[in-house]
Amino acid sequence: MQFYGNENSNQMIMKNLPLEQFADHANRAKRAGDANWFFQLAEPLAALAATNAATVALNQRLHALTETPALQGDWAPNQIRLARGDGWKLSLWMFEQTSQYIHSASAHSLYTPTGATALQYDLYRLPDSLDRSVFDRSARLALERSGQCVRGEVLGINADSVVVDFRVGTPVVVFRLDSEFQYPVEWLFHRDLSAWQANDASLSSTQLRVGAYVLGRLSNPTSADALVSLTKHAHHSVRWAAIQALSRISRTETIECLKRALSDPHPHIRRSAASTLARLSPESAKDLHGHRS
Amino acid sequence: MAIVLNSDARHGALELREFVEFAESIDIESPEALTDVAPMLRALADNRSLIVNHLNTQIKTLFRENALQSTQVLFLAGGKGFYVRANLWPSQADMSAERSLQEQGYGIAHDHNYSFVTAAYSGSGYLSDLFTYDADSITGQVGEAVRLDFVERIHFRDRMVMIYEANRDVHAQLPPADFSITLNFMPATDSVRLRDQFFFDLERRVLMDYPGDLDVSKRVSMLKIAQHLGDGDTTQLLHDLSAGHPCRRTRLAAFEALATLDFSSAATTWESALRDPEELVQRRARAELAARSY
Repeated sequence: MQFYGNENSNQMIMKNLPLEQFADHANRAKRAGDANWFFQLAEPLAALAATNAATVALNQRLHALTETPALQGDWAPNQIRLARGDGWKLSLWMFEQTSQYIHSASAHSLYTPTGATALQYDLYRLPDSLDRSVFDRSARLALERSGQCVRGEVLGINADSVVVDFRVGTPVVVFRLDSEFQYPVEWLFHRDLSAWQANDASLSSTQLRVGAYVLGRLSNPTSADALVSLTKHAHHSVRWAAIQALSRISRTETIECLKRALSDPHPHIRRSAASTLARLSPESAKDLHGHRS
Repeated sequence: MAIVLNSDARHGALELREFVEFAESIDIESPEALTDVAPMLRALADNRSLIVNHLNTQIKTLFRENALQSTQVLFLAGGKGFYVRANLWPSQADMSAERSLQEQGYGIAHDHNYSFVTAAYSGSGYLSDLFTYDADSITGQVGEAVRLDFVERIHFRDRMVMIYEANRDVHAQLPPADFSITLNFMPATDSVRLRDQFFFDLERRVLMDYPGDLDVSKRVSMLKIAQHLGDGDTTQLLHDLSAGHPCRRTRLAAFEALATLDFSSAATTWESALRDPEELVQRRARAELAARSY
């Protein structure tokens, strides 16, 4: 078993488990509360891959399609969703081509091939001092090593420190186990390893940002309360989207939110709040002396 | 051809609940359904607090009902065989600098695999170049030449309502001068999930691609996975799908998977595919058999 990013792997060899037993095992591991519970699922995942669980899951869906031709099943482009539980989700993924950009991981993950085709990869390290929530265009990945994961092996990716890029020549189908989100932002890197941009990793953040934007454009006073509540959201881009939208509805509320944002945990928010306050309210700008970031 | 209705008549704004009740009272698959829905969708669009109220609620509950299907679509309500959504149309000034017009969906000519009604809701409205084509005259192959007849360029705004016909009307939208919203009434029936949708290259006048998130494309993707995972049961299931599934791209994908999984019988598989009623499948079968004869 190959394992990267976490040095405390469980080396115990498990018997073969079908999908339902794997799900039960995963849920019990989560409930047991070990800090390393997710990566301890590597062995059970390898055992699952050694069974015919993937083929059985596929056949169940093909059979459903023969009975209901217009069925909207649990499949999406290049993936079949198999199971999910508390803090994890399991799917089959088909990698058909190398991606245009290198993506940071927003969740921990385990991969293991289902067949004879190996999973080729490059592993990169993120800069040690990187704050994932603050995009830094000067950040660069550092290649750690290249390798391949063959049937019976599991590639573990710790989202805290490792970025994986799959090099795809021949399409390969894998089991993929993901943890719950660890980071709300996903970074994209160019092939020269320089940082390109950061995106929302979760649909929820995107939905809230877009929703706030639309409310700002519609500029209805009844939206003020909803937007003020969003200025306290966990994700900094949502907080700022809410303030921007609020600025189209209520100057008074906006100034109050901007004053609070001077102490925001995110440096971009603090900086933007300070400059915006200076433009909106010269009187408030006098209060900035104690809040510059 | 896409029908444009300019409605100055104001029948009073509808609440979303009222619209859904009306839509559930009609036969969605009848030929008159959309013309019956059109004035009611206009009345719903006259409800100036519709989107605001909906979003205020969704934001307070943090979109727990997944009301935003993408950055451009807001799900409003659904009923038996249909749903209602709001489409968001950013202007160029609204878009981030890193996002191209094409990535936003502008300028890409496409048809729809469903007939639907759309009503302008707010903003200056997008521009739309309208074309028609004859879906029965093409095989559905990427790269295939397609005759697209230009109809007109319209500025979809201000109380306008349009009815689009599935797999006949084609349009390419251009960004509005300012942020705009439209409402769409969308049939969601089995027949829709079995039909294809196409992107067209207007310069070369060819079928360019299929949308990746289409139900057809998702089925095809799963059948590609089957090429790598199947066993004896899979082979039988693929036989059944290739022989009987009503969607031609699904049948073709089943033939492809079968020919890969059971390589020794690939020639027999493609000979069976020659008897498929669709030229799309037959053409591929001929090419595969020709390649094997060398």
